[in-house]
Amino acid sequence: MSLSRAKSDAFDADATAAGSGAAATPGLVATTVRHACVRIVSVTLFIGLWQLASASHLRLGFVTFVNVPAPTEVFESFIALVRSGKLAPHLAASIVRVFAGFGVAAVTGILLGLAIARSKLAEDVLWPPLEILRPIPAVAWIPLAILMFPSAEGSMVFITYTGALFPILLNTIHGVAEVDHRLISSARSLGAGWRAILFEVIIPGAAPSIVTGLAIGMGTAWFCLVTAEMIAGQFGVGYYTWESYTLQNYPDIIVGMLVIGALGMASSVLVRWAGGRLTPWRETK
Amino acid sequence: MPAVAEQGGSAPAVGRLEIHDLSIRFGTNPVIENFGLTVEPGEFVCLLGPSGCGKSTVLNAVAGFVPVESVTVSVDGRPVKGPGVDRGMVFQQYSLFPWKTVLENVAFGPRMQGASRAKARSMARTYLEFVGLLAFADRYPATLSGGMQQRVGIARALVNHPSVLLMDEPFGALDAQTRGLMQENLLRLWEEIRATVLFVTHDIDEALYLADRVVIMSAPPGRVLLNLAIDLPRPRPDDVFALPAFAAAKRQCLTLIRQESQRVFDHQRRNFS
Repeated sequence: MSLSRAKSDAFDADATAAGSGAAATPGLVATTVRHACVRIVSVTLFIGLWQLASASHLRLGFVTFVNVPAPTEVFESFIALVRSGKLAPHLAASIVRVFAGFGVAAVTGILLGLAIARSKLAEDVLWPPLEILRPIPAVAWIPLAILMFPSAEGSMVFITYTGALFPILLNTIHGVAEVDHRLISSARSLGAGWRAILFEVIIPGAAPSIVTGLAIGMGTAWFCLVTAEMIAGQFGVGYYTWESYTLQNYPDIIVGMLVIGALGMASSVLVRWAGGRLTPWRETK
Repeated sequence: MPAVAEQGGSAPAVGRLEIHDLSIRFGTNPVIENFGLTVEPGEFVCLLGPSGCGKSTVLNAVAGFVPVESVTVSVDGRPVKGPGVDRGMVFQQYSLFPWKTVLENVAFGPRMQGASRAKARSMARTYLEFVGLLAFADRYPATLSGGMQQRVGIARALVNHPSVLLMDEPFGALDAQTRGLMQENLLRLWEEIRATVLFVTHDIDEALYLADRVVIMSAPPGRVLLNLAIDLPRPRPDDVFALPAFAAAKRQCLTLIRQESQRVFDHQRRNFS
């Protein structure tokens, strides 16, 4: 029994291998469509349950949906926000802050990381203070940042910077350390000096890890910015979300949350896309 | 391939490699002790020995990757102080730059020598044609087979016109058929460029097939155990493996290497159990 089963599996495998050029394609499309349908149903079900919980003022004791607006209310608030024209300044304020903090963090994180990973002296001088600051969550910097920066804008960008810096720094150091020593040896044998080794071997070798650090850094940048805006901000999607709470515009809280999620996702996609463009050799594998 | 052949010539005057009394320790552990070897210009020498005997360490010392005392290793009388373009290196695998195309990998050496980008590319094309891979110039290394990657590695080393070519088990990671083809190809290239070659391997057949002279190393600390001149016709005939001279040399190598492998084994059992 088991023998004949194994045999038929082997024949199936052959048939699949032989037919994979033409016959597999319709099957693949059908599978993709089926998965997509399941996912759409899943999201619909999730929103439906939420609607039900909100509309029925569901109380479970430890958590209550009494004050949770229903999806329909959230959608209406979102349309109202878009029509009012107030969304754009909030979006612009947040995006400018994130890209300022993230941009400076990318430059300093990569430069510091390269220096620390390549030079013992730089490691001894630069690493100890960074190692002390590293375990402090960026959010814990908020009170001090407000004291240190005369403008609220400066303190929020600084918090964003602090959040993005360490993932970028650590991934750069890690990426440089992981560059295969045979590649460096090969380059030296071929007559490369330190400059060529840095720009043509070390940096491209560390690039995949740096891109990962940038993507993680972009995520933490949004996280830190939203928190900072809730405390120190005027304008910005974090500020908008918190303001909605204080003004008791509950549907707007969820609008703010969803906008923050969308912005975070779009920025991560942007960083990964740019990273892919910068490391084209990895896609051809 | 006229441009490549011209650089060869029949009687190369450069590429004399001398190693005098080389000793290397890793910490307190002596890896190489009183190792001496002279390779004549244009000679093909295989360094053969049990694994762990320090063959690759000798090669790395010649390449300049392992610091040595100034007088111990020299090429044409110039002491080796670090890596240099007079000694081209081919590693076992994964030494092509993954982020450079095949053409850019080969053009890297000439560019480092100060050639213009256009000149470096044209030199790279010449050597890619030499190893039969010009059609793959714009591919990334990861898209090539292991054997093709090694041919690119050889082209990248040769384009700098090294007087000594150092090869560290370059075909060790390839399957048997590919390895045989690569060996044939290497000899064909070598007939044209006539550089001195120091080739590390643990494969006796490979060493006998390729070399003018096989140098057998001892169990660690590594030193020269036997210098065996290989008296086989060149170019190697297809049935070289069936020749009595081949069988005799192989028997001699096998006996010595088996005995040294046993010593490595005993040494490891004494020290690490």
